[in-house]
Amino acid sequence: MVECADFTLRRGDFTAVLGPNGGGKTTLLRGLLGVLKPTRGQVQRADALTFGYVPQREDIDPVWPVSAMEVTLMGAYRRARWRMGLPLPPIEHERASACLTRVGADAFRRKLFAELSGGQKQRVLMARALMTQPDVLVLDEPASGFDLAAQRDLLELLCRMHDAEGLTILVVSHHFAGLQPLVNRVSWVHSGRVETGLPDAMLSPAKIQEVFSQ
Amino acid sequence: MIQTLCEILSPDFLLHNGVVASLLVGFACPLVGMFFVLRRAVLLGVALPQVSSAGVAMAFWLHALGIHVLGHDETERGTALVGSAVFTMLALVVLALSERRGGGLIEGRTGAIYAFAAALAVLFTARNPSGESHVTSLLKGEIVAVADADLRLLATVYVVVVLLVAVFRRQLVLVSFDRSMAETLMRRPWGWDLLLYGVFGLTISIGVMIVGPLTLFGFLVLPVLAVRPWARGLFSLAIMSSLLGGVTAWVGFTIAYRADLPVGPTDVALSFGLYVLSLAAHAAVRR
Repeated sequence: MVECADFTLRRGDFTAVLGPNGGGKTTLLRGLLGVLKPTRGQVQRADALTFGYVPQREDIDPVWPVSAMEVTLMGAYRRARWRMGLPLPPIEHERASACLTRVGADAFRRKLFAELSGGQKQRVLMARALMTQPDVLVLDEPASGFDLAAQRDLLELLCRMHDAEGLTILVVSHHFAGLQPLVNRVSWVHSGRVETGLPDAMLSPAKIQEVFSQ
Repeated sequence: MIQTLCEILSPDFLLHNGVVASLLVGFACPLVGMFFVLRRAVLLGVALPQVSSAGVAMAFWLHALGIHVLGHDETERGTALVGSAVFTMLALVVLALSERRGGGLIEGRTGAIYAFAAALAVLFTARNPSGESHVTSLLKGEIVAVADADLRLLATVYVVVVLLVAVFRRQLVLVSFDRSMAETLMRRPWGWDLLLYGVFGLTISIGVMIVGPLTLFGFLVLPVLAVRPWARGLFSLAIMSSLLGGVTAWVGFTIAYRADLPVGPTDVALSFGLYVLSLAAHAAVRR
């Protein structure tokens, strides 16, 4: 439960929502995405705002024999909802290829999703989110289980997408190493509250100690 | 053997209706069973045919007692169909509601419903004044003795089921594959769950009536399990498992006909053999 969630997401921001496990980050995220309705207060979104959601990799069951390309094409399902049983048009396949290339996942497009490494899966899920042509890219614990090198690669990729393409990015994580130079806003979710500020202040050793000592 | 394989496909073959019913079930059921396997709900694939059987047994019992839910000119088969459909849909509604409320184990709830349905089927059969053996044979399903009307009903319903799966495959896949993504992209993802459950209910309530719970479960799950290790995408899984189901139904019918064996258990035994063979071959290839 998040009691006091005064949180604003601005166009063009690269925001990190951080906090200890069980602090309410996912609840806040689900509220922003419109999956959970707030028990009090309201969530206001710009008209026709689209979120490109990248779930935690562990949420995807490896029993599904789907290729990386098929997973990416799922991002087009909303646009294709009136095509009923017809195949997706060629332009969607071209878009999917472009999205896979953008995240550096083009080489394994034909491989089964279940056979990919953690980092490769993350890139494919990002490509799928980009296929929705989102206004905001939302990533839930994207670096969970990664070693330092893989974390750095992922952050560099996100940074490139933010700086070069102007994409608004929201990362929800309990990892905060390496984030400081990349993000321009940080929100801590802890003890049922949300605190937002600039990275220098919010990622200072004193602030981190304050959050984790509660 | 080759001659018999060709002979049973002839329209003049004595058991032609049985062959067509087997092929329909063989081709169509894996397309629905795919969702049982991929949603890790195989237990539901065992439980629902059993629930449907309990509905059939209750309907026969009511019919034998002279209680006619569809009016006085209802047939025994018509009553059974209503019983099968009502019980299956009721079980699906209970399971869907309990899933939405969360809490507890889905496997536990499904297992409990299976046990209760199995017990009900036995109890209704034991109390049936028409005779236990008659009802038991109806419950087992008689593929070789499918009447024209039953075959038409099976064909109509299974064509509708296949069309629903084909037309709405993207939505059904998305709600099953990644719930959280579906919730962000779809207005009412539970509506697609409802459609999928409706497809399960239709497939099972009609299938149990005509081919019996054992054969139905076999065709829902075993071809999909056999093909899954080899599939390189959802389309290939759907096509290969449907083809394997159809070919198994054809070859199984032929073996049963030549060896004078019951068709349903022969089909299931053959499907299981192919499943084991597929796993062994896949393990060998990977080594």
